[in-house]
Amino acid sequence: MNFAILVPVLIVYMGIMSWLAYYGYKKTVTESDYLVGGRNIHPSIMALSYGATFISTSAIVGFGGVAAAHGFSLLWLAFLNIVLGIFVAFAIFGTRIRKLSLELNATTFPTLLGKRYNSKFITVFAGIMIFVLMPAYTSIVLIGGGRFLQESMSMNFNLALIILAAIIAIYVVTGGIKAVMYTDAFGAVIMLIGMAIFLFVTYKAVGGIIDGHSGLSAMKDLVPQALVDQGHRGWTSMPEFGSPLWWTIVSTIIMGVGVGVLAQPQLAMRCMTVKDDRALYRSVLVGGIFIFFMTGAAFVIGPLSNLYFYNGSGEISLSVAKGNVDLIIPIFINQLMPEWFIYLFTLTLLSATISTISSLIHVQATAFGQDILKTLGVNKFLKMNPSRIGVLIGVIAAVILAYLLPAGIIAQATAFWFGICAAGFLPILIGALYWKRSTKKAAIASMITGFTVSIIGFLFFHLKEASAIGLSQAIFGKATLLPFPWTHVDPLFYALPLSTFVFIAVTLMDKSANVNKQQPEKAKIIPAVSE
Amino acid sequence: MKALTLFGVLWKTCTQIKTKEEMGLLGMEDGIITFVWIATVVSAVGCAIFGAVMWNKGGEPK
Repeated sequence: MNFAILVPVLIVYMGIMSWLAYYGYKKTVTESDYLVGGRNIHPSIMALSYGATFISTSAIVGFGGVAAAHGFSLLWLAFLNIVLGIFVAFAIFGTRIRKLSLELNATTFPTLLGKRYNSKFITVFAGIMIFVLMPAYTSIVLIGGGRFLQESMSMNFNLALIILAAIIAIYVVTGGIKAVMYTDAFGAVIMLIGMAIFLFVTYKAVGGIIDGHSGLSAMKDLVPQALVDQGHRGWTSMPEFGSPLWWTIVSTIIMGVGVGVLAQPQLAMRCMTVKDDRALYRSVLVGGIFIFFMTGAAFVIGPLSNLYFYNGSGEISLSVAKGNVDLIIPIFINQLMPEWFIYLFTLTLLSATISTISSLIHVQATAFGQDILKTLGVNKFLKMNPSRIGVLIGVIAAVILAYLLPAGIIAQATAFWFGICAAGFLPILIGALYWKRSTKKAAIASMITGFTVSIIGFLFFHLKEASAIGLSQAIFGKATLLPFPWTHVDPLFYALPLSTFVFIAVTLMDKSANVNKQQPEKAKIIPAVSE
Repeated sequence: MKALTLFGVLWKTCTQIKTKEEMGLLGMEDGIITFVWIATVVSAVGCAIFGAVMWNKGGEPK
């Protein structure tokens, strides 16, 4: 890479990003501006910001690499991302989240749930879960960005992490959600252009759509034996039903992330930032196209990289990357793309990293400042606004974890966060939006069940995390407590049904469920969304 | 409902792919993968159509 070109490009890029952040800062006057953009963000900016937050380098680099190893089966995730992550999230859930947040004057996801169920405990507990568990997700997004800078710019990985973290901290501390969303939207446009070109160039390089797919189908005998033993049947086939690989792809990657997107605090709160339902409907148009060119493209490009590498060097992607799936996409870009494109793609992945982390840090910061401290009556912390202290703590935690987490875990850690959010938040979010009878006791029981069962599942049952953490080994002398298939079934698969069951059962048994009938004046304060 | 019906027909067609000639439709070996490739494209187009159709609906009453 020619640094004489790259450095000016980066300076221009950072200049535009800084100007947008400054513009956001100038437009941020009230607390509502800092938290929900004054509830008047343009639909295109909201959709692009949502998409850019949703799609990190983790989705492009991490999941693209996993798709290179496991094949087109990951397209199920792209399909769910568009249908659930965009259509359902905006047009069905989003309209109700917006109305409910307005009715309850809620400016964060935990506050929305807490006010709906009239429970400070829910707000604080949800805030703590976000503040404690989200840094793991934030750090792997940071790792994804750091690895790309390391690979493409030969930058020291440690330096890359610190530079990214510092840039993001400045944006979020000063400009709040407006700075985050404006810079996100700009980054999203670059991402869209970059990924669209990358997709077309990849198909062209492998001979077009049908020839590319056929060529890849013909390579199924080249799948490494270790993957065949796990159930891999070729890059253009689903894994063998019920095999370890099938469970990992379907329960963790596809369902964990595909369903988990509906209960992501940093995504759900985007729906609170627009003026009316019309803005959400318009966002469906922009969001659907954007996500298609992000996840859809990444999950097509990843598998096709095998054909490209094989035609060039006789090796499949995993061999070229020496087994580290996180390096497949960066190496593929460096080999396939013309030099000018690498600069554009550097900006694409830089934007993906910055946009996602800035949104995550913003949510972590508001969880700390608004949901935990303010709910507990602490309005100043160390003589500073608690949310801004939360930004600094979140950034430092993400950087530290980025050093501690092992290589090749980007997709896995993303699925962990998405799955745990789905089990903990999804039933009570749906109840808050659609079931007036649902009660505080049921919401608390469901949320605690979802998070507890998920965490127990990851610590004692799910092989990847349980063996990496080692708690089960230390206490019980074995890596996991249950045999296959439980070792490969994502905890979401049992935690979500269980938390849903608890939510429904406790609501039906809870006599305070009739509170709305007895106290009509209170029902005005704690309703499900009015029609 | 129309979208669900469309995906249902697509699923049935793709999962019945058996011969190499039929496979040549998209070059995939597995009909389920053919389905999801097409469904991903269709869902993105569907979102675009929905957004366009609903462009002026759901505005705040003046």
